Amino acid sequence: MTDSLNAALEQRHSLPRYQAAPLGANARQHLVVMQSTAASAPFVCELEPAQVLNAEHPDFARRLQQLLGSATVGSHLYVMGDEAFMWRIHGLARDAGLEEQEIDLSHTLSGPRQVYCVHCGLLQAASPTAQLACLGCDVELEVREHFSRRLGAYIGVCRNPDQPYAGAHS
Amino acid sequence: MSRPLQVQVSATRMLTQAVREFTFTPCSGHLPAFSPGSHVQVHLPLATGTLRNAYSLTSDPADNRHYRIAVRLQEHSRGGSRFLHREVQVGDTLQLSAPANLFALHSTASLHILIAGGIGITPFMAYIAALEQRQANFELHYVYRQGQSDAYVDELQQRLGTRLHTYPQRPDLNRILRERPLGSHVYSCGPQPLLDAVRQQANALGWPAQRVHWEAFSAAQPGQPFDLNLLRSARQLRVGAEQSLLEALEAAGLNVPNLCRGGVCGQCKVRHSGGVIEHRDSFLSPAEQAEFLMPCVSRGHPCVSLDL
Repeated sequence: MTDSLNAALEQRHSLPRYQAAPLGANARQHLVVMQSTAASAPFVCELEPAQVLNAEHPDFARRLQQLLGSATVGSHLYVMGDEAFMWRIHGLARDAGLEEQEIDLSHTLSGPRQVYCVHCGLLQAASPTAQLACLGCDVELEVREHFSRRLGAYIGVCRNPDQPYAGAHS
Repeated sequence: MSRPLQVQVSATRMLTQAVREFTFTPCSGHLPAFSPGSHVQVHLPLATGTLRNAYSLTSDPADNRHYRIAVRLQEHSRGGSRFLHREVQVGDTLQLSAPANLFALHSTASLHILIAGGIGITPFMAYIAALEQRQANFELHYVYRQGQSDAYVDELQQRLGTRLHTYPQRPDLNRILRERPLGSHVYSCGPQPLLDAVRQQANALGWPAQRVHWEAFSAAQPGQPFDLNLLRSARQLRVGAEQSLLEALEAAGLNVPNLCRGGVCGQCKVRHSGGVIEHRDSFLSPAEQAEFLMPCVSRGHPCVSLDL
């Protein structure tokens, strides 16, 4: 790949971009949600005051709901983990009323990403391979370099219309 | 640019000693729909030339049979409000530019906090109609001077009950803005010091700019006359003391796209080269001002060259 192609890929607006440094300098309250202890970013210890949630905790879902439900404007959210985890939390945070600018995503773990099948509408976690069989409709999907922030997922479309199904159907 | 709308003044009433309300009905057909927060430019045929002043639409956006505006008399301005207060009568025909919106409601907010100062209540009248129809969660904080700038206050008291908070002077903004739920957005309209105070307080409480919406009502202020040199069309014009640069261009048949006519929206941006520019806008950054000016409010001397 040439340098100019490389640069063009990096600038592609259809892919999510993650900040290298956290943004919430002006925030009054920091909310940290990490997938695991291993996902924690080094800057977490500098956030003051901060409430920290770890998804390894058995009561995580309820605690997260409580955290987002009681937070007030002036809070900044930091999410750390793999892509599937980050964007799932991102969606919950947006639903709770946080703005894009109040959410910081740190891609600290390699792992699955979310894929949206345009044929059956199923949102699914998948390993970062270019092709996969949809868990919902078994269509063999090509995962495009096209990301939806609203869905928190990459878009998967039928790879071969002449032979749409993977496995059992073909 | 779309053609101006022809409307007839179908009713007027004094809302306070200093605020006159106008109802406009279309001379033919229906009026274009508008979204809450929209304004129209009213074309005012003064003896010194046509002024176009922007006024927020106060009527219900769901009703396109008429538009309403409320105008505060400004004794020390260029005469637009004086004309509307003293000259315009029921039955008169006026021209309006189609509605434009520079102060829209945020679509996903779950709590709308409205802060109005005096005649800054006007865009919120349309907001309130829309928010009531959507059964949205909102509250209005209204600062006014009794008898002078308390337009619609009786109506609002009846309509809003405990959602209305009134103040004879600047309220404690910290109290209004602190510890608000995550879906909150704040909107302010009124005199510049009030808008600045809201933005400052919101910032101090950690609100990002995306949650803070404001509309200034500013208009061109008079100044010294000066000359214009239009480089591309090789023309020379003169801007009168009471005239804005944009109005001088329009009088010469040059139509520069524009919306707010108050130096805030950025639509009429023009590249300049030469002359001492007196920037009066609140849109361009200092770096941009080195290259561009906003002809709706800014002036210069002795001769300003423009890329037009």
